[in-house]
Amino acid sequence: MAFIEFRDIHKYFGEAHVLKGINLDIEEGEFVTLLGPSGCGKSTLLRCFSGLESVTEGEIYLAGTNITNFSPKQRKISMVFQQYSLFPNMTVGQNVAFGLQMQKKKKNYIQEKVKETLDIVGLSEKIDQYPREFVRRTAAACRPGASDHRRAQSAAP
Amino acid sequence: MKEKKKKLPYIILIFAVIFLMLPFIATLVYSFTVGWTSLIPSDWTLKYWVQALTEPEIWPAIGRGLLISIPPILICNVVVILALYTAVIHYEWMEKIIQTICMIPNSLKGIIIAIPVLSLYAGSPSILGNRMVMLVCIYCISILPFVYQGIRNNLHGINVKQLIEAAEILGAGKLYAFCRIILPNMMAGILVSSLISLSSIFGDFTILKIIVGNRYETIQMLLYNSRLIVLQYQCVIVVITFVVTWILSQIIFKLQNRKKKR
Repeated sequence: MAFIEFRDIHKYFGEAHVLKGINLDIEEGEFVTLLGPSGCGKSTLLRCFSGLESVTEGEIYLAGTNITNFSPKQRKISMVFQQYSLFPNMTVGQNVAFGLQMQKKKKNYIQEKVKETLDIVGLSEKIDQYPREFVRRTAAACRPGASDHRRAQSAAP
Repeated sequence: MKEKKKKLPYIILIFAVIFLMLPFIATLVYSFTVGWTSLIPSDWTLKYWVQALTEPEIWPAIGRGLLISIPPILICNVVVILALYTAVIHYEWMEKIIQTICMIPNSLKGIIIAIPVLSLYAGSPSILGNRMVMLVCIYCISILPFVYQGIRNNLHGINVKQLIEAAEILGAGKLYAFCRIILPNMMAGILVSSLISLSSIFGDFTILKIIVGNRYETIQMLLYNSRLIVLQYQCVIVVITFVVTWILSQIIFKLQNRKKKR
């Protein structure tokens, strides 16, 4: 059994049949890229996987567990959004720490992890700054990186 | 040429400020005059200012005006925020309906709302028959367009759907995400619409007069009751009303900016 499995996934938006019987197996540690023209359903498939969209038909398995009806919170899947979606009212550090706080990790661990992640991308100096344009992309990429989730996906390159 | 280009926006801005401030400046200047029958005032006096500032009725009237503004602003903000948030996140088709409902009061001015409400509920044994409840409810309706517009623009400006999705992915519940991320980002919109609503209620006379008459004397009612007194005295009250509203808005904006800087 593969680590991530899509079994006969169908997704309708009203009359539009967007995903037509997708079957896909992905092994643990495998790097997968979905390529296709605009509107072909790449983002929809990722959104179905992360739980932001429900599937009309079919099942999704993660490490052998059927997660089809799990909420995004239960799935623990990280994602870098196309528009970054950083929280404007929080500093870069708070943004990166958010996922860990939701997992109720200890304060010291969160501080260390945030510092470590920001060090990697060279944003340590911006830790107390609010996300401005020049740091948005990098900070957005750090957020799932720090959140200790096992899987990360990006909706756009 | 470059210098000219730079100066032009400032010149336009200065003219706009002068144009907008002119009625206020005229009122202020007039409040210091003894009489103004020719081109220049006949004499200057502080008499009306001293009279107004020592008048025991003025400050309680301002307080009553502010007090009656708070419940409608709170109720209206909560209702509109919840309705719009639900519409934006779950039922996008409902937004048009909410917009239509919220914009109707724009065409219904005070007198048109107040008279039917009064004739419908006056004498009713229910709580709606209470004049103060009636007043608060009517104010809720009258400020609806301001509150709606401010909150709607703000919700669309922060891309609320994506922020909620980002928070959910990181493990937050919808309610937590709303309180921790959406509400703080909406504060600017809420403050602006609340201030416009405050000045609208603070400056209302028509609805107040129809619904409660002289039983609840706000600064506007005081102004109306003092209409037989000299015009300069009324000017002083108008200036005081303006200054109080301005100080309130400045305090709120300063508080918000301090929070942001932190």
